[in-house]
Amino acid sequence: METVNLLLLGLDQATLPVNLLWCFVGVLLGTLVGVLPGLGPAATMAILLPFTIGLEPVTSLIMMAGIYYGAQYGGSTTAILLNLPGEASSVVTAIDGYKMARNGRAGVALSTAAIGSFFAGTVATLLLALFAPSLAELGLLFGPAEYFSLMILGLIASVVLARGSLPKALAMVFIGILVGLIGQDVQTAVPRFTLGFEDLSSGVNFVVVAMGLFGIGELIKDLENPESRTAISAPLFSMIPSKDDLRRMVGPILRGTGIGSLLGLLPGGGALLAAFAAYAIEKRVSSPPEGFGGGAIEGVASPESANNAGAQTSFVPLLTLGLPANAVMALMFGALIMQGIAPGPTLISDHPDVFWGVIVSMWVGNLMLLVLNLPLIGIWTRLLTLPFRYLYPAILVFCSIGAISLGNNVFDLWLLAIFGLAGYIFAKLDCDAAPLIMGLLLGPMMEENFRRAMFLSRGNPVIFVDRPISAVLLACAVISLVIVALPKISSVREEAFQE
Amino acid sequence: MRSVGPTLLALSMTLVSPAFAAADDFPSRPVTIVVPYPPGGAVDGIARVLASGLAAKTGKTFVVDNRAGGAGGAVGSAEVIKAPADGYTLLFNASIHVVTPLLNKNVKFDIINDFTHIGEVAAGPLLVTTNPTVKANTLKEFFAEVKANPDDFNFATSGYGSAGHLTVEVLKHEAGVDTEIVAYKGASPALTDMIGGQVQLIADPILSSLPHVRANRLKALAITSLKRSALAPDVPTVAESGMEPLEMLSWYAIWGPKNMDPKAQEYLNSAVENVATSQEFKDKLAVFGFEPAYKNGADLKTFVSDETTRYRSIIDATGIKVE
Repeated sequence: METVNLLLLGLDQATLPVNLLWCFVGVLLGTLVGVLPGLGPAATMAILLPFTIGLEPVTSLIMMAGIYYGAQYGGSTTAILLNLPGEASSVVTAIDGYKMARNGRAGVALSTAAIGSFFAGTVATLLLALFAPSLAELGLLFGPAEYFSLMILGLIASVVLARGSLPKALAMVFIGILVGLIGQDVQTAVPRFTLGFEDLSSGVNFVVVAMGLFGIGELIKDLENPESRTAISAPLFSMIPSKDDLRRMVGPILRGTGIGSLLGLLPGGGALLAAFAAYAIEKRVSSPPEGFGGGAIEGVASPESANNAGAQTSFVPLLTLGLPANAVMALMFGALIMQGIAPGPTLISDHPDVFWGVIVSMWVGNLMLLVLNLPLIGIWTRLLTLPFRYLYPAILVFCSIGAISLGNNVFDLWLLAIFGLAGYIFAKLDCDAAPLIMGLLLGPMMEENFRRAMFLSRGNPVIFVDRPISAVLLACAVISLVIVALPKISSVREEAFQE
Repeated sequence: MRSVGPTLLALSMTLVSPAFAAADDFPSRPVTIVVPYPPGGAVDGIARVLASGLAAKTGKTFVVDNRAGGAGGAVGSAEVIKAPADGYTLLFNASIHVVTPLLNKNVKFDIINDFTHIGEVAAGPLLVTTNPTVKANTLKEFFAEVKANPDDFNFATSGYGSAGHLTVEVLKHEAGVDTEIVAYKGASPALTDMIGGQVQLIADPILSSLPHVRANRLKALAITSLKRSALAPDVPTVAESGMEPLEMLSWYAIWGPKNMDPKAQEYLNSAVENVATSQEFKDKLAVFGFEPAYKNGADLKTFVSDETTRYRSIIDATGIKVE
């Protein structure tokens, strides 16, 4: 059993005291930056990059990986407690998680997120260890046409999962796509939709939009009726899920883990889709008594498992092919280079200690996170007992610091204010902002891949149905759209949300 | 993604350092090297190697600050132009810095006169590669195949206006094919599609391409230096691969705002020379697939002017769109 030997080699590396220490530093930092909206894992790693030069290659990678998956844990905390998703993946968690918190079940929501994440992390680590090299090939099957179809499916899924009416959800997706297209055109580098602002030439940062629409928009709405925000009473702070809760979270965690592990493998935005896809699928297969959007534990368990699994399997393209899938992976790539290791397909055979050490450390780190997070839940939930008059300015300051920390740029504060106002208007109009976020994130990738695919096919759109994976994805998208659009079913769907 | 980190770090160091330096000495506080891209790429990596080398040689603090945005890093470059010319704010960028104003009418700065030229530190050729399923082993054979089946071939670039983009434009102009070049956001997604067989030709630095050539996931057709590189001795030059000789290097240099304080300029010139000509720097650069290529400020200025002329003639000849 060669894999066992290699895993043992990894365990040796991961349990070296120095590596344990830096792993802990990483996950702790990750949890903290995850909790703070704005300062994301990529920014944190960028700041720390120069300091990692003094560490051994495997140690620095272990720490940076810890920051990344630690942030996935931390990001859900503010999403659940304050409706402030700091990470793309926790936008979905906020939908039901925040509702749970308002129903007095914040503790249960947080521990569900922690348990789901730990389980998903464990499974994803095993998958990595057993199949990493062959899994990498899967990502290579995705060309521009496949990505375009995947993005279409993702956008349709976000419409399906939105609360409220179908036309409103579609409108929000389109607004999101339009905002996402602000910035430079990838093919010709021409700035588009920037209204002459140089600051908009690199696009609108997702975090500013999410903080504005969700956090600040919600705040303004609550100001109309301040009592509602502090209506939670202390005895409801139990963090221990009931037997019924546990029974209900098993299925969603398993499904979330599966979906997350698969989507995480795709270089180029797969991990981003994981939480959304998991939530959309959960909506199809389970029927919680509260209804989705009403504080269903399934709506927390499934996306939280998916985003953690996806975060972990997104290491596959980097470690096996030397192809970083997103900004965070690009930083890890940079860290490796600065250590004198050229990341590439030969990393596993040239530096087995690095590869296996990092993989095993992920499991160790997940265990640390569980131990670290469960006791913290009690402290976090106390936040909610703060009177609204303190909480309100604190959140505003929090969001403003977050926006500034993105780029030392006052322009982002203006954007934050604009999107905060927009969030309030959308809430008043009963428009769910989640599809807008999806449009913002996926729209530009969809456009990019659409144009690439059209280049490759010499302008022939048949490419999207000619290629089997792309055709299947598009078929799934059409089927989901038809299901929602059918008048009978859609009226049932709306009823479900009227409760 | 910029961050407050470097600034905070710089501030905290500022509080400590005055005890060690007299007020009129340069540098009496940390020097910021602006990298106009997100961290993690080749420019950022070399800037950090340079910064740590400068710190080691001088005992002073040099901080890399990532200020991404705009075509070819135009946002970060514009900020350096606006910064005081006291030597505490510098710009580190690649050859694309020269190409950007040629391709992009919105970029207003004058590459020769708006900067103080401090020094070039590194340069490296590009690998021209294709997917291993393509039969051709040389550029000549490759373009013969493209002509026979034009619809089966697509070309890629990791960024509009990059050295790789110009290289492919020059080659296809010479070969007389009009295949469109698909632009990607960075080397990683472009190489993913190269390896996956979606696109068939790219010119990209050794750093990101060579590992895939070694693993037989990409096939090297040529290297864009006039002589073979010691880092990839098996790869023929463009001339050996059946085309006109071509030299297209991706090079890296450091600049300051124009009219820099002469004292600071002198200090930086000699510090950069010390690092760029050292053995440690050479060893570290080898990992990136680059070689030290030191040019002092005056030589860099001439070089930038020559390169501008050369790139402009390539852009005119090949008909790259200027927006």
